[in-house]
Amino acid sequence: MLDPQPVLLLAAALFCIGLYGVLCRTNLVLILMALELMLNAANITLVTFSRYWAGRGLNAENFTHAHTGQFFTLMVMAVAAAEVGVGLAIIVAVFRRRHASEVGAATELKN
Amino acid sequence: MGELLTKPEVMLWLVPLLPLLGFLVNGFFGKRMPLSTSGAVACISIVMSFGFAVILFTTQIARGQDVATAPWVWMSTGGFNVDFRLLADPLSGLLMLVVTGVGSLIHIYSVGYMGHDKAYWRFFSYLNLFCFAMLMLVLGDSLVLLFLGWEGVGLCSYLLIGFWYTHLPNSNAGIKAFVVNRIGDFGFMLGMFLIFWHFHTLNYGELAASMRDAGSAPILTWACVCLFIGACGKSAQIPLYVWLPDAMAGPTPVSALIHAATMVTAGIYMIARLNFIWVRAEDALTLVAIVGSLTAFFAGTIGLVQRDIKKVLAYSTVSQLGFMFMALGLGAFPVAVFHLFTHAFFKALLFLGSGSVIHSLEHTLGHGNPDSQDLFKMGGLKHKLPLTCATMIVGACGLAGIPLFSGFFSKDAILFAAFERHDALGMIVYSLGLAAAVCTAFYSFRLIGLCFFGKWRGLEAAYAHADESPRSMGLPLLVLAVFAFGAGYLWIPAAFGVHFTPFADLLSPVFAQGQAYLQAAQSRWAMPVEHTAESIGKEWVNMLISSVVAIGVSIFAFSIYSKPAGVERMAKLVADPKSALAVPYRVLLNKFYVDEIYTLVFVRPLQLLSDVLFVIVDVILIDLVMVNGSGLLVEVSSKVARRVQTGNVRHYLFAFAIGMVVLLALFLAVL
Repeated sequence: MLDPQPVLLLAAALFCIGLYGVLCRTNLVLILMALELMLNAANITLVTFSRYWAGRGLNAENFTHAHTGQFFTLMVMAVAAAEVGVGLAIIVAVFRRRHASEVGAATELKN
Repeated sequence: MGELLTKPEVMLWLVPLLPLLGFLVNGFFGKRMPLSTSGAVACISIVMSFGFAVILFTTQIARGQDVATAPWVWMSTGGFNVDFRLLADPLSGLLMLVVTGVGSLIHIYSVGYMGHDKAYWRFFSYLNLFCFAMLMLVLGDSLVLLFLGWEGVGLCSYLLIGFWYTHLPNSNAGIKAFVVNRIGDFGFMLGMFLIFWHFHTLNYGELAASMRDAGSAPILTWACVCLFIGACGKSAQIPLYVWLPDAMAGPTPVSALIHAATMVTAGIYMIARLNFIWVRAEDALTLVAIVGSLTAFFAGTIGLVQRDIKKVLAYSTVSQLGFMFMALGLGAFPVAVFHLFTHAFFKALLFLGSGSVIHSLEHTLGHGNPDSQDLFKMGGLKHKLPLTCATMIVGACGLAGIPLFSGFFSKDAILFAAFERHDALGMIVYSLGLAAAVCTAFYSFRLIGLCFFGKWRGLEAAYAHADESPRSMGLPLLVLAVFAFGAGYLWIPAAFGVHFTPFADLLSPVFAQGQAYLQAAQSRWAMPVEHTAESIGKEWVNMLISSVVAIGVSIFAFSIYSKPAGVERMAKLVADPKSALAVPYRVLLNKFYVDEIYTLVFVRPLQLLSDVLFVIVDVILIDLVMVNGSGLLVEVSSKVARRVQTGNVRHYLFAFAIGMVVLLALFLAVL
């Protein structure tokens, strides 16, 4: 039987580090990396709860909860991979146009 | 197709719809059509409508068969249902004939009269629209449809009075007519509401049915008084008559059709139509009789001194409408309709004749020159305009009530109804009516004398170039002259010993129910059924009095005003401050100062109130506070809110994260 609390705290810490990175980093590549951290924090919680439910005996309900966590983790990983692909493409496009990957300088949306 | 057109119901639809079609064609395409086409469209549509009206009248209505169209639902809300249905019974059928018949003649006349006008098509489209609205007023089978036509003719009247709108007084006259009529319409609507409140219907047939066993009730009196206020507005009675003389600013054919022959008789039609209600409201009838006779008298006296040829006729119209209301107020409904009928011919004739005079002088004097209408700058025109002169004399004889002309028969019947009453009301009405008849005879022949006889008093060139008008204007004058002479023979008084009363016979079913009620109640308002030797004797006396008055006063007026010396003597007499005539002349010339009094009592305070409201409500409340204020509020608040949009993605993300935390906290707190 797994105690989920320390793992969840770890996930929360990871999430906050990611959020800090997203908000405070100026480099687009680093922001993307921080974003990955946040996604993986979410993944950890999903896997933790999957494990938690699996450890409570295999009846139909617990079985479903356990599998949901597993599936969602896989889903998030797939989406994250796609997102990194698109994100990197955008970063490359922005870099080509502006010759810098500073996020604070791009304020065209305002106008 | 041919079969369809011979169905009475289809013909009845076509009577009002043809002028509407003419209006639409001229209204939409008239500007791009040649003058002759737009005139032809208007004339053909109204003449065809007249043709169908004649067929309907001779084959159906004159044989005692009413024609009605199948109803279709117009509005239906809760307990209030109005069907759109046309009904031609003897009364509405007769008016349908008058409207389309006189309307046709005036359309044809206008082809010549308006020939030089740039807005020819606009004139004809309005005129057609007017005919449509007037036919709806007459042919509708409920008060709601009557009101539709009532407002429609009011609109056309406004548009046509202000037809030459580039001249300010003309458009002011239009506005005056519209506003005064709105006051009357307010009363009319109140009357309709009261009737609906009491009977839950506004359909004539249903009203008559629910009236059959009813007695008189105070609410009927109130409803009738309210309706009479509406009639006062539309038919120019005291105190709302002031718009009609000003309405002469419109083109003369308009004065003839709208402001003499048809529209202004709408009030008389409405009361005659609802006679089964009015007989149960004797107080309201008394009011009608008194207002009518006062109007007849006072308008007649104002007509005595007017210089403008059209103003004389305008006051004469007000006065003759007063005669019709007198007859209605005495319960002599068919007599009122009879006077309406004869008046339509001789007054249209007189107006068209005056139009012919004005037209012939405008060649030289220029359009809109007041001198072309000033009787004291005319004279001796009989050599120049022989046809106009001859037909106008016929019209004047009809108006003055010279024996054997149409006006004699109808006016006499009205005076006789008052004469044989033998009570205070009859006495008052009779004496005012006789005085009004004196005025009528005087101003009619003053007009003829000043205009056509004596010697020319205006600009020499105008006289030299005055020419008889084109044939399209002469023909209607001739036709109308025939009717102005002959229309009276449709109801020959019993005293003549000849029983020939097709007019009264035709209308009797319309008034049968009301008369039956009056007779059963032995009311003073009941019309006599039998002619006793005594009543015939009285009729002779009455006829003798009015004939002597009419002929005597006519000859008197003519002998003064047809001679240059007489005109000069009269002018000197009224100008001399010491003469007894000077003060009354000045009062009459200024129309009893009624316009000035109205201005002081109603118009000025209203203008003041509007000015105050304009500043407080419009400028301050609406413009400053509401319109500019709301704009300012948005501007200021958006200035603040604009700062939030930096365009920097990280700021948005930060707000997003904060929002998420707040939501989470709320979520946990609720949990």
